[in-house]
Amino acid sequence: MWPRVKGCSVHLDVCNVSFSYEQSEVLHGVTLRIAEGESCAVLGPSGSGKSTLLHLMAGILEPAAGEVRLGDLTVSSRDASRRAGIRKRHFGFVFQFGDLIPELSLLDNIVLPALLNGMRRRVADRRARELTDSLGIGEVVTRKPREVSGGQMQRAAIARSVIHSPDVVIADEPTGSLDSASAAVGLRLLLESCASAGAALVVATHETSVAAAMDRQVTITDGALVDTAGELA
Amino acid sequence: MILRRIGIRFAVRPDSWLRCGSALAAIAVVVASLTLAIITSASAVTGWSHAQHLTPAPGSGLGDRTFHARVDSYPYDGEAWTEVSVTDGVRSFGPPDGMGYLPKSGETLISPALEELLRRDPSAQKRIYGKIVGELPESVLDSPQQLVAFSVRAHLPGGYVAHGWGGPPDGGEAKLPLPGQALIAITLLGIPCVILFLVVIRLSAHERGVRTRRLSLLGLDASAVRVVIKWEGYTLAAGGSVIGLGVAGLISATLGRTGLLGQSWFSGAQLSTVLGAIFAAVVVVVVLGPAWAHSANTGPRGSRQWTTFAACAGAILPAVTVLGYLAMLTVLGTGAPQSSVINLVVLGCLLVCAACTFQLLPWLTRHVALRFIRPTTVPRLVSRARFAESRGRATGPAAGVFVCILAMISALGYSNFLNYAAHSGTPGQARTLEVAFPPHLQSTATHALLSQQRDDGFLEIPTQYNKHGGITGITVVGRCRAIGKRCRRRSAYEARSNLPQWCRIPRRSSTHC
Repeated sequence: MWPRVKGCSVHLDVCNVSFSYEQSEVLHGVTLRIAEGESCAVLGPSGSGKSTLLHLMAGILEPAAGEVRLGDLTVSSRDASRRAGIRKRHFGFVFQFGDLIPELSLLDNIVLPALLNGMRRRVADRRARELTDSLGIGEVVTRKPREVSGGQMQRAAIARSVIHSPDVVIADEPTGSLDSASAAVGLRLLLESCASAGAALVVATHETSVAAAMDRQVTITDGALVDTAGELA
Repeated sequence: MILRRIGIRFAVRPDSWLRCGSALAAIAVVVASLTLAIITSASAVTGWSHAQHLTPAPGSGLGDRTFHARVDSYPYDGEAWTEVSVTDGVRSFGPPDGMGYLPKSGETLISPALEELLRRDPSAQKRIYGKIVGELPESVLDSPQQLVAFSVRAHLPGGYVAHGWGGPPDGGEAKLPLPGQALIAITLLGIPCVILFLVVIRLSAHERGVRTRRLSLLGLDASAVRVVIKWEGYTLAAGGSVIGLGVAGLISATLGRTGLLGQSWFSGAQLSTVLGAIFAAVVVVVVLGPAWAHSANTGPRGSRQWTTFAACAGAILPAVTVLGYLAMLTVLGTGAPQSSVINLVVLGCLLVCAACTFQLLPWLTRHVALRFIRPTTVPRLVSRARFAESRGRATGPAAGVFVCILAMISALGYSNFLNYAAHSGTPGQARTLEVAFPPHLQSTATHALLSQQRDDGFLEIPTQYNKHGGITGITVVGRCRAIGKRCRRRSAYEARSNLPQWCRIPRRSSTHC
């Protein structure tokens, strides 16, 4: 659909990144590599800096030190406008409560990233229909977010995150607002969608069951990243 | 394209709190258009008044080819009854265009509508001067429904000296000075609208912040987010303007039919109301869009501080309001203590309303809401939490109502000022005619020398005339010390010592207050 980032097989490279809120240092010298198509869980207690790390990866925040690279692109060293451009093209997002725009229908929410990236409406609609059918929300796509359940909203958010074939999908507590059954279904759909789109997946969670479903798990402890591969298994 | 579409969709709000924004935008247009209508009409009223005052005196030529005219108008049975009276001297000019002949002295011509009215209501006959001898042709009437009586009299107390029918006025119309008009516009039109916009923006800043944050997360940069928000503002303002235009027209038409003193000129201000409303709508659209975008949270985590803008506006607005009203008071209130009092009252009301809107009301609303909204259901719980967490939410809708009252007070205060200026003859400002009447006569009256202002501030109005139209008596209109009470005195001494030489002074005179 769109050319992916050229360069190397390592898509997302977080190199020695530090970040502080006011006087409080949240992350210190964090280094992480996410390979193409890899899924990675970032674990840690509330307030440990999981969301901050994800925001740094996506260019929402600018690191105090270190850099974030996406292939050849240096995400962290650019101005806000350019970071927004990179985010629009190369990242997809899923949040705890879906974070859909309430004025738009589910379908409009889903096609929005594609339209913002220049895809034609007709093509975007077709792609959205394929995704929503596969996610089981094909019959409710014309409804507004407030007219559907939390699980359906989350599925719409998953569809929105992959419709423009991003390189990386960032998911911040994607199953936090769902019951266990819905959470399991939502997680499976998220993994399948990312796999079919060829996107890497980074999930911030404090649930070990979610983390266990990922290829790799890392934990943030005292502002530093600890690779916990295999421990959860 | 997609950004514009999103912005327009944003304007269709699912949240009742945000719908208040649309309603307030509509009210802003109503207020703006009404005040603009008042201003445009006011300009005409004061301009006419000034023209009469500034028309140069014909001097010694008065007695040669002049006649006296008087036009009285008052509401009767829901309609405006106009009496046009002229003296015999009019014969040297012949009838006005469209009239075949002039009645004799002591005779009256009436309009067809008035004839119909007299047939229905014979008791109204006593209002007619002299003998009715025929009908006025429709060509001299503004409309067939106009109630007009045209009479010729030997003597016409209180008439104005005229020297012909029709034609442009000699002195031209003296409009209110442009800076004065601009000041009025800024004070009356600008300030209430700005306050309204601030209330609207404040009302929904948080909600819009949530939406724009989501757009930013999806990868829209700040300028793209502003485009979305601008279009949201444009849509909102345009929608509000359409509603506002309708309501403004309705209010204007209703006020025009009330016959209230000082509101009668609304009936003649339909066009200016519509033009004013359209202008106000454009202003709303132009102002609201960028203001909306300025207050938007354009970053994914909030890069623009709304509070900074609000704080600046909160500090500047009261200062501008006070300065604007004081300046208006200075410009318009000169020489007229009554109008100064009115303006002071208006200023006081405005400040009280502003204080209520931004200080007392949020506190009161919040405490009342927390006291009386019991969290027995989820919606109530949410509503209570909203009141508790945000001062702006507590302020929102009620503040809009207060600001509207404030704007209406401004408009009515100014309307009262004009009414006073137009009807009471303040020193330094001539009496003005009250309502529209046939164009020929209107221009005659505009020609007329109405009064002379004396050095001591008293106003001299010719009130007695001989059969040739010469002035034989004069009324000196001055002011007693008590504010608001006018004093009329007929004083030979006053007149003899101050009147121009062309005036003849009656031997018998009296003074009364």
